Amino acid sequence: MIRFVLADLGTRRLGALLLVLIIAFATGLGVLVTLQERALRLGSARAAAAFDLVVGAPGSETQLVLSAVFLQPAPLTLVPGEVMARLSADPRVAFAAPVGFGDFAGASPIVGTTTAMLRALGGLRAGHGLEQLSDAVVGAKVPHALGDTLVPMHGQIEAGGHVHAGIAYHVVGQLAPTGTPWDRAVLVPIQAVWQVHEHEHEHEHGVGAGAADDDDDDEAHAPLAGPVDEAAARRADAPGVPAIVVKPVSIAAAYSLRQSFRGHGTLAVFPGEVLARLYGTMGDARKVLALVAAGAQGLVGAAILLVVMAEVMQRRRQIGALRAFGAARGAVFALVWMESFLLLALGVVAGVGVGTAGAWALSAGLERQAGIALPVELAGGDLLQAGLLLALGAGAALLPAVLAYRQSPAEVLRG
Amino acid sequence: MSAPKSAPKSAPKSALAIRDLVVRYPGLDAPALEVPALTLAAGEALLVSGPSGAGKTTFLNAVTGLDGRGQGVVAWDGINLIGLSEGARDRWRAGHVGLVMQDFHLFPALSVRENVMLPQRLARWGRLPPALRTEADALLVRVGLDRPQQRAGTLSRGQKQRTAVARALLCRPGIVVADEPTASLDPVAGHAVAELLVGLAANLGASLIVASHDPVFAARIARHARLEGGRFVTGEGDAA
Repeated sequence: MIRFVLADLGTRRLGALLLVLIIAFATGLGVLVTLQERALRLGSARAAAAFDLVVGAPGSETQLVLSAVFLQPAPLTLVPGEVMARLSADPRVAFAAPVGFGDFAGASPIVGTTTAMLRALGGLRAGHGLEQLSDAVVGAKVPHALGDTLVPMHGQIEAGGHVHAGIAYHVVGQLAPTGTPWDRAVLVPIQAVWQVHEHEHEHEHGVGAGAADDDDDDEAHAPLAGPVDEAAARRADAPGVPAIVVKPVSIAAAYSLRQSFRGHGTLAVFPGEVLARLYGTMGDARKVLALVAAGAQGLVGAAILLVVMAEVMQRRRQIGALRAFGAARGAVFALVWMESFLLLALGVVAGVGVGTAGAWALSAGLERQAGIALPVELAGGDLLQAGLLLALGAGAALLPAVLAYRQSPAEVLRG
Repeated sequence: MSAPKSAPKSAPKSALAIRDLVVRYPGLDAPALEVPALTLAAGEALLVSGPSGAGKTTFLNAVTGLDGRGQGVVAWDGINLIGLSEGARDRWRAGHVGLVMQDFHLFPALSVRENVMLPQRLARWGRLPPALRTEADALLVRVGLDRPQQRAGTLSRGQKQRTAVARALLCRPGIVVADEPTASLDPVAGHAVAELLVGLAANLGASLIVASHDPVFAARIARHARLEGGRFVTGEGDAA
């Protein structure tokens, strides 16, 4: 019987293939929406995992998270150095690390920070940490090797940046891959960023990359030299930074810290909470997309059911002949059902493949662009959903089968 | 030829008895078929002719149980097909009737052998007895087709109808019914098919009913009945 079904599908393989493809694309659309939304959620949550609490100057919470966690360039107001000093001395804090943006090396943002940040990001896979002012530790995806010299550009080169004369960093270490935008970052001592941009701080505007600034940079800077004094970053009279990443000693400490550093010139946020709010918005968009995809699936399903039923009507003499020759009624029913269901099942299975492949491709593209690893993962619920779709199809395939079942064999001799 | 020479054991001979058969179609005043009495002895052959619309198809549908509508009695060996359920008629037909039609109704993607065995395969669940395949091949040789693996789509029209004849005879039916079996063939192929059909049915001891205009059958079948306006006008009657 299977052999017969396959042979019969073989004779009309072009039509069958088209039906399977249409079903596959309709199914794939739904799979793609689900997987991509999940990838975005998982990916950004993982990227934020190392950042328990972020403290910055009052402003947009979302922007603070996007800048500190995802290294999105934006001009942020600085928090005074005194805040960093207070955090460092606080017993509720395991460590506090500044995040200061300064310049670009190629397409990679240069981030001024301290050794604590290197540890928080997962440590080094090669070389050593920031010991000299001119040291740089590169993210896993920065196209520079140990020993390379980096010349910082003020602003990205495409955006018409210019070099700081006389300044150069030496790559002394490389971070282990994190799957976050930090893989593309160049980490340097925060003091180096301060030194390069000393004069800017007087204007009190952010050391935001890409920020329009009118400083006259033709003068030569003093070359970066000497060892890093990490304690200097914790002094109350240290320059301001756009954001401070804080690792509290406990969950209770995290909440109490957030309480203490809200208001009075600072803003403290849980990146996880801010992201959850973003997902809420994203979830609504996903619902709309999922509805559109489901609608498409329903319409495609109905259209295909019509095609299959028209086919049954077209072949009623053939079906009648089978009955006339002695085929059991139930066998004819089973044949038509199996053929319809086989087409559908092939389409759904191919659709899951198409959707997953599409999500992979999209994730790879986004990863290249944004630097966030977007993991495409099939969950058990997806299989359940595909199973549900199959069950629905199995039910729908009953229609043409019943039509064939009711076909009188007497038709075959007529005409 | 090693075809079943008479094979009387597995082919119970069937005799037909029709009494007071009236078939009407909705919306028509005159009955489409009216046969007061007609009998056919077991193993006897009957040729039915008549203009189109005379009721030939209605007659064949009635005697094969393809259509169970109507009043009266259409009984093969005492089993009245009128009033039998559709499933019961299907089962009865599968066990007793071999059908050959003007259209061959072969599946082009399947081999000749698979086509011959298809009705049996679809008539029951489970595996076919292995002997059936040997029998199918023997029958194919008997009708002049010695490549059972050949795809049916590549056959000539004459070969296709010979395959259909083999398919009709595979389960050694007691009744063979053919509806214009030569109408879509050239004279040479038609001649060969008529020869095979009449010869093999006689060999099996099966009763044979052929509806045809083709004179090739008139020469081979002694009993001839002509239908006009739903009634038999000649050769009718309860002879035999």
